[in-house]
Amino acid sequence: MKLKDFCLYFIFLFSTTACIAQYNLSGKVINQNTNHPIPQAEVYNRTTDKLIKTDDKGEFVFTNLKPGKYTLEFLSDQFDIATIEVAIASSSQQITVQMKPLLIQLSEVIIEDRRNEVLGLTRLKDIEGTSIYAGKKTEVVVLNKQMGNMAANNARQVFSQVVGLNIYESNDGGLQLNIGGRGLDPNRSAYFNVRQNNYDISADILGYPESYYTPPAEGLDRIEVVRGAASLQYGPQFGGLVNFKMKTPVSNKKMEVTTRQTFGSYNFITNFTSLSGTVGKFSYYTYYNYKQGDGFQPNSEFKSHNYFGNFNYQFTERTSLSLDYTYFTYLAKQPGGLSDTMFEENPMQSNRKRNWFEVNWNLMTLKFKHKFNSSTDLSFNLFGLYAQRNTVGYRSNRVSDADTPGTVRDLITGKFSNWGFETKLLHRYNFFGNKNAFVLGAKYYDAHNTAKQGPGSSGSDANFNYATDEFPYYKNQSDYTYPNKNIALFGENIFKITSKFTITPGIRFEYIDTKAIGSYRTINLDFAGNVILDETTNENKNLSRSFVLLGTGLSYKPVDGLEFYTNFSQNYRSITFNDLRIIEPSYVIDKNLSDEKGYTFDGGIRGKISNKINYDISAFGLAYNDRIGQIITRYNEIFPESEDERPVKYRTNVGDAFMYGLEFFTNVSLQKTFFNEQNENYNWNIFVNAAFTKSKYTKSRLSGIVGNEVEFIPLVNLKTGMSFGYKKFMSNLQLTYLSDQYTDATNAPLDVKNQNGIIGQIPSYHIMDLSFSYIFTKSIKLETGINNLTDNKYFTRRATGYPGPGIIPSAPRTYYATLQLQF
Amino acid sequence: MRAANALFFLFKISTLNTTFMKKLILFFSFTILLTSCSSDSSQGQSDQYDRGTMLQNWANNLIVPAIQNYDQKLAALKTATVNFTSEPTTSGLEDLRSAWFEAYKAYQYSAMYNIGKAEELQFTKFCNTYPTNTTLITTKIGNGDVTLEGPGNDVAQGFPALDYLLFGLSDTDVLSFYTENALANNYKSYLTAVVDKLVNLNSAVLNDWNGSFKNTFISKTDNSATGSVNKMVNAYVQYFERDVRTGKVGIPAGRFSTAPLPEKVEGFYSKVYSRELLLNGLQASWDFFNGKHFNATTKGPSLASYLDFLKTQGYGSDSETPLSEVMDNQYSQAYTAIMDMQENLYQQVLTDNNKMLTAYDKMQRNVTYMKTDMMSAMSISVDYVDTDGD
Repeated sequence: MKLKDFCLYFIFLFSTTACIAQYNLSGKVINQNTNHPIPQAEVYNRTTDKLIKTDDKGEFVFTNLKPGKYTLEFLSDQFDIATIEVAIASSSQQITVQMKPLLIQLSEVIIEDRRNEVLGLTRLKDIEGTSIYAGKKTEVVVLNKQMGNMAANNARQVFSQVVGLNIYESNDGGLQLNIGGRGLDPNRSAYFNVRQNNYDISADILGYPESYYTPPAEGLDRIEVVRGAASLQYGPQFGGLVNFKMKTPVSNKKMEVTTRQTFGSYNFITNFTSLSGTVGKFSYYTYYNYKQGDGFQPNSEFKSHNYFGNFNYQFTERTSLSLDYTYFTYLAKQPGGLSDTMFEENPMQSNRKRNWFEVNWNLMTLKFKHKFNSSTDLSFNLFGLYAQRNTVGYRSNRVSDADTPGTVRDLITGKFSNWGFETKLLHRYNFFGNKNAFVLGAKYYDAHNTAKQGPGSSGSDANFNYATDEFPYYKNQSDYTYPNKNIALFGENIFKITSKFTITPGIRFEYIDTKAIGSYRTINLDFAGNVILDETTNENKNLSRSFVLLGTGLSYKPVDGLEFYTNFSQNYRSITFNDLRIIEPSYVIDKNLSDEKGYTFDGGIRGKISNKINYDISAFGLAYNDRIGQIITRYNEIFPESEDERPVKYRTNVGDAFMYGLEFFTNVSLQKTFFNEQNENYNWNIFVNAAFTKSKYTKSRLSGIVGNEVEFIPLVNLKTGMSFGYKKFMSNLQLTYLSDQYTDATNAPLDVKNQNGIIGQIPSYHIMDLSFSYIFTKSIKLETGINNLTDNKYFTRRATGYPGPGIIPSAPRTYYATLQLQF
Repeated sequence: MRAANALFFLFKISTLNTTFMKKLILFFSFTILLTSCSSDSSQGQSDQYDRGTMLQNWANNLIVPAIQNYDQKLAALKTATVNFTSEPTTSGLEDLRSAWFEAYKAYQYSAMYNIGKAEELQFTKFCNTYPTNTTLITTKIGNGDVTLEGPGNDVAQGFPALDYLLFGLSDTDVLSFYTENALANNYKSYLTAVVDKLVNLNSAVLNDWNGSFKNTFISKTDNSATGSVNKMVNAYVQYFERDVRTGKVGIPAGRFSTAPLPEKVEGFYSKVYSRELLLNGLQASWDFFNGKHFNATTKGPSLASYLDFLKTQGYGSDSETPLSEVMDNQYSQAYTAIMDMQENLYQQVLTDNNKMLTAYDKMQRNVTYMKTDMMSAMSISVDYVDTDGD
């Protein structure tokens, strides 16, 4: 290219960029028959991916548009969808749009469906708010489309369309969410970055990433899941991100009250009442949720209270401030775990009458959003948590032994108090004629958490006070404080190479300072239980490290409705408190203990086939390296200056594993496929959600492990369902199937004579769930259903500690009915 | 490569015009892709050692004979008890004491097999928890209480209780407790109850071994945490570390406390048997290691031969020697160190505790060989540790 051409090219480039003027596209939406304006109609600008609503006069306006062609879609209940193409050349445009009223009454369900289709709500768009999702494997659960026992947060029904999730089920009315996938431990969803309205809700995002609080499904609008190679913007946990988006305030009413009352088997009673509305610039969504139940095993009662408030003030069109407050408390009795023998005998039994679990969660966020102009958005989020988690009970490894009343219990109490802020800036810019965008962000997190263990009282009640007077020589006594600091800087940029092809690289810099300060008591007993030694050892550990993580995503959209995507990201899992905690002298922690690191790779195709079939097929690979575990080695191997050869338990990075598989999801509208009619009265859908996963330990300091399969990975993880609706009636049948999975690295098989139940395979299981809903009027809706239709006896989990240890059985056939009133 | 081809194939399909058939093709092509990609899953890497034959050797030649022998000694103990309680005499007491000692020595061999029924019944806890709680025994006898069930009663029964009842009631005149003492009948009843409990516990264990358990034990040849070899090795290591090293030597010598605790030896009241019991315990562990048939000289496959099969060498300066030889030698050194002490280990602690400490160190070395070298060579992990909470 000659210099002259080069100069001309640049002049041309500058002139086009200099000449970009901004125009408005405004209009009025009216009823074709009556010419009356249609207020609150949704206007979706498909070209700029913006959604607005018409005001009371039926008017709308899109500002700051460049010359070009724009496709607008208009949605309103009881009207046909209208699609208009508008061209903007050199001046603002004003149009009038006529919408034709429908001849038949559409049911709520069909209206929602229609809206979801037009807005393509089942997957995250490339840019949402101040987040970039281009090229990533994302799934969105739209709650009002899911059918099932929402009051009980039945995870296998709520997450039925999220592929490859391994879900632990338990007895507590859905108070805790235990999801994993791709071989990651489902316990308390610790491998996901779990957020609510974009802020963290776990106990300590690095040191104790367990989710004791889960938002109730009844208060959710949608759940966004971004898989493993997820989002360096959030924190590269191996599992990815799960973001619970609460319902947003109703915009056309001052107060809308929704109340839902549920009754279910085993005295399951819940009430969910929400208030939602907008008054001028102020809008709010708040709810109160009460749950109680007896549980299907003896000794498993629970009671919970949850309050949530979201209050927003819209200063101007561009600036808003919102405050979220969540209060969650519950007390649950724990029936304990079973051995294999006990499970075969009677899966509903319980031999633990004195085990209790209590949680108290206070979460507050202040969020500030500002839109500088149509290209630049800023969000600033300040959050804080003050929470407690206490557990008391008899938790011996001898699962089949009954607990003896009047003896000591084990008590663990934890307090979590932390605060932080996260700020993100999203800027769209033009580069060589294409629209790119970048996100830059920073996060600061300061945690001060404590964990104490000691003797619990000899009674049977939910007493969470230490009984050190009664049992001064209780064997496990320790008291630790974990001050943690974390600073992260991250950035991601979408490069639109052509209109069809984008590359999104990202980078995250992380500085983590983990401390463990505390002490443990060494109490030696002779064989008759007499104390022969009692001394306290102090510990002070400090691990400070910083590193950079990279990732990138590619997306190719050859035609509308089809996308090839692939992405790669480095992941890590921070050293947790438990990794740093010493409770007896035979433990030594590697002073060079490093976080678990790895990477995830996703690649697949997704799209829609003529509005009838929605699909996402991908392959993934997950390398999970530097897994933290324990090996037995000589003391002088760790400390060569010493001559002491005694064996010690050395906590260090023990090995690497690799997981890979295929994830397949499709949702087919059968009524459109077979009948090809625009009959809006019927709705007939089928979905298949299947994951095939394999794994291997590739390196290990423990012998006999290399080549073994990784735990918690069923080869087949299948959820499939069919829903059928006619006018105001909807029904849904779902089948879940998981094949055998191991629960430990030695791949111990199933052993029905096993006395402890902690080790062994989880045999394959299948469950059927049936649910119905009927809308009487816009204000009254009834939901009902049966979970575990065929009354299967199965379990999804073997616990190594609380809430077992042992096998945690799953629920038998249960029924539920919910009545919803909305006014 | 296959994945890339599949994705390309799918792209081609997606441009076809049929709709539902397309979905079926997509689904089936994936099933085919999966089956062609799947490889043999490896279920717990294991070496090629013939575990079955080793398990048979253990069950038939070591375990069941040891338990049967113990059973016979218990029968003799029972007979001596019946004789003594029906007519308490000095010679009867002598016979009873002998029978007790013989049974106690035989127990050291069978106590190692803490698996199956023995594990379920908490066999060692109820047979041999010491130091025994003399206050509790006295109270129970005072109340005529002969209940021995329940965890709180482990300190009031078993061999240590008999040790007290036969040797510890008095320095000079034990017999009087069974003749002239106002509570003589209670003493006799309690004595009988303790002996009966020992007999019953072992009957249950022996019946299980003679019943279905032996076949189950021999058939579970896999190398996972629930396989027989894994469980037996854990039992073997735990017996040596805890029962022999810690209980008989470590605690009395003061390794687990700030000062020596001589009164916590095994056989405290009878005094002169403590070293002999320790030697029996050591020998039981040593014989098992070498696969030596119970009460015979033949050796069969066991841990020593397994280590030889794996070609495991010793540690550090012993790296030219097979580990089996190093460990055998270490047992021998421990034996010598124990023989260097007097028969009354209580006195030993008081007069020259260093010899106890030396014996402890010799055994400790072997514990290290077992836990760090042997178990990792065999791909077995230690399982007798309690999990701690959350």
